Amino acid sequence: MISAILALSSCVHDEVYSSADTVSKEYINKTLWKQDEKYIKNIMTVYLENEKDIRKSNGVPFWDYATTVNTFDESFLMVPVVENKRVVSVLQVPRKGSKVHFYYSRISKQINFFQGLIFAKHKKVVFSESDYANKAIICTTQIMAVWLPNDESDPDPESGNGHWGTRSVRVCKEEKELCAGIVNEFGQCDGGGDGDGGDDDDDPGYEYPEEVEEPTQLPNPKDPCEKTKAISTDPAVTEKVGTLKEKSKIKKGQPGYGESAVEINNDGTTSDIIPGGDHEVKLGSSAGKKGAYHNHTPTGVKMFSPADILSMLTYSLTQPIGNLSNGFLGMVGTEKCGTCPDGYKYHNYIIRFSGNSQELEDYLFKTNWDEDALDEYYGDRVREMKNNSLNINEYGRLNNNGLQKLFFDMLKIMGMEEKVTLQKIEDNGLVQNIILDNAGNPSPIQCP
Amino acid sequence: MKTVFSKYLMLLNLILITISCKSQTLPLNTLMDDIPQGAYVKDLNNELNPYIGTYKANYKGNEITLFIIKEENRPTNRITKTFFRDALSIKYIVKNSSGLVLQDTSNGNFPNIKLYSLGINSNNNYVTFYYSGTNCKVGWGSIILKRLNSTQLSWEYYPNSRIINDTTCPPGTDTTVYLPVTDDELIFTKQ
Repeated sequence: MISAILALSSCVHDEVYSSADTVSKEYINKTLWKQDEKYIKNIMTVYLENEKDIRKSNGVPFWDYATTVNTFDESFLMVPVVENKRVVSVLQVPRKGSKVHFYYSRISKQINFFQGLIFAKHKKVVFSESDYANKAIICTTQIMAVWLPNDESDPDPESGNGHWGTRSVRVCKEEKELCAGIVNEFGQCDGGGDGDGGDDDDDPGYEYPEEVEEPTQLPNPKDPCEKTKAISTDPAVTEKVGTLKEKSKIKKGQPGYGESAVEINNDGTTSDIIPGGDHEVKLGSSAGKKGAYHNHTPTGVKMFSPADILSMLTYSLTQPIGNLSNGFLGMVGTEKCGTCPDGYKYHNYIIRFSGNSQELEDYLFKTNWDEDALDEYYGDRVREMKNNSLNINEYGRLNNNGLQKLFFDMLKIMGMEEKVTLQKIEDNGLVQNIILDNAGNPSPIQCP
Repeated sequence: MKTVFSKYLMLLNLILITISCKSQTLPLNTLMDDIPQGAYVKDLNNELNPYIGTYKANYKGNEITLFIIKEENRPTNRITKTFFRDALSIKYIVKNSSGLVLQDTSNGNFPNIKLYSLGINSNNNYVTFYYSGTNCKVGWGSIILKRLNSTQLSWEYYPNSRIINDTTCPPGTDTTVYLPVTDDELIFTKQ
């Protein structure tokens, strides 16, 4: 009897979620956003032809709910895999040149997103990055809200009680790594792949249906990597940042101690070095300026403070709508280092706002910041982090990991998670985007 | 009448005690993430008490006097939550070699200048303080007072940098940091 029920159940399951059914019909975009339909259709074709080899998870892909997460260059998609009305995994398909690679993930945030997208009765777009060209950066996100009723008997937000809960998926170009197995809930590649960025010997991928040229590598003015590379390779800027670096070495009591800055104008020209006091530097209006670099002194923390983050926003405010992330704030700090070539370790960072204009206005004009509370929390976190050896160097000062964690902690308490891009400029001029990995640890992504 | 009033007072006390007992009491140094809204971070072992007192030191011709007190149940705002914490609070007077007062936060004239403890390391006998900096928050950072013995404290001050402008710091504001910026173990002596 039980066998009969199981068999019947299995038949019903196959009938409802037949893979063939889901791909034999014409693809219809049922998401809340515009999608790269050409890429989705091509990937559906590849999947159909190779399903036996590709399939590593129960359930079937719901192609109508596939999302290319605001990418439209035939480069990436994710599609929910559904079994018994539950999203059980997400199939992700990045393209590298003429090859496409399939891997599954079981990351709860992604699964919750698609569960809501497919099955929530009431849902709405909260914010779509495609609405804001300035956010077309290395990472793209799609966010929606689903109505969570208090009482299932009255699930209508118009009449029943409940609240809107936000759900999102995010993808970064550099994160489109290959995993021949399944990426587990911790973001690690299980079974059959190393997820180390793609070893084509392990995962040769599948031929993309049509002749595709390599994506052009022309500088994208909206790409924060390109924007910062333009700054870090500008001779006038590098010369003055070099001056600030030297200043950041000078200890209290020695000639030249203190804080200085340089402003970078919208036309690319730079100001003279702006001398400040021992612990402060006064900058003028941000109008007509892209941003500024300043130095931190040896006594201070070599990372942006809450006040620095708010200063950066004033430069974004004067940028054209759609290019808010042109505004930036730079910081250099130096500390002694026994193993470094010249005896010093340099901390050279840039931050940019990556939110939209409404959010910028909210942060600048509608939020009553308690700067003491922010600075005190900064102090609390520094003190706590120094008790963890992973966060400190041989002198007991915060190391890169600690400093970057501190920065992301401050963004979090300021409600600016994923609204500010942190970039590290190495001594050789290379630029890294610093992001938080799935475990919440800072992780560098080298700019191309 | 007096008896009735006393009973009423006792009842009121009982209610107040009951209410206060409802907030969670946690030891000093509880991690920020582990402190819930409304909790009381208490100096359960009176570890802060030995630091209380008036201390003096001379640095580069200036005389610095610290008045260290313990504030119990100090309201503490951390943006996403508020709680209460026992903390050491410092008011200070800095005078130059002529006896002229350069800055005096003990007289209530500088309500924005704050200097109080964030946590204690009893194993190594030091307390970490948050200093808001002087006017315009210039010189904000951390100060470490290490208890050398029953009458002496060593002083280390690590100011951070700050970007200001005419809006956040009107021209003419005195942004001189009068507290001694040194990590070279300046010694304060209890008076």
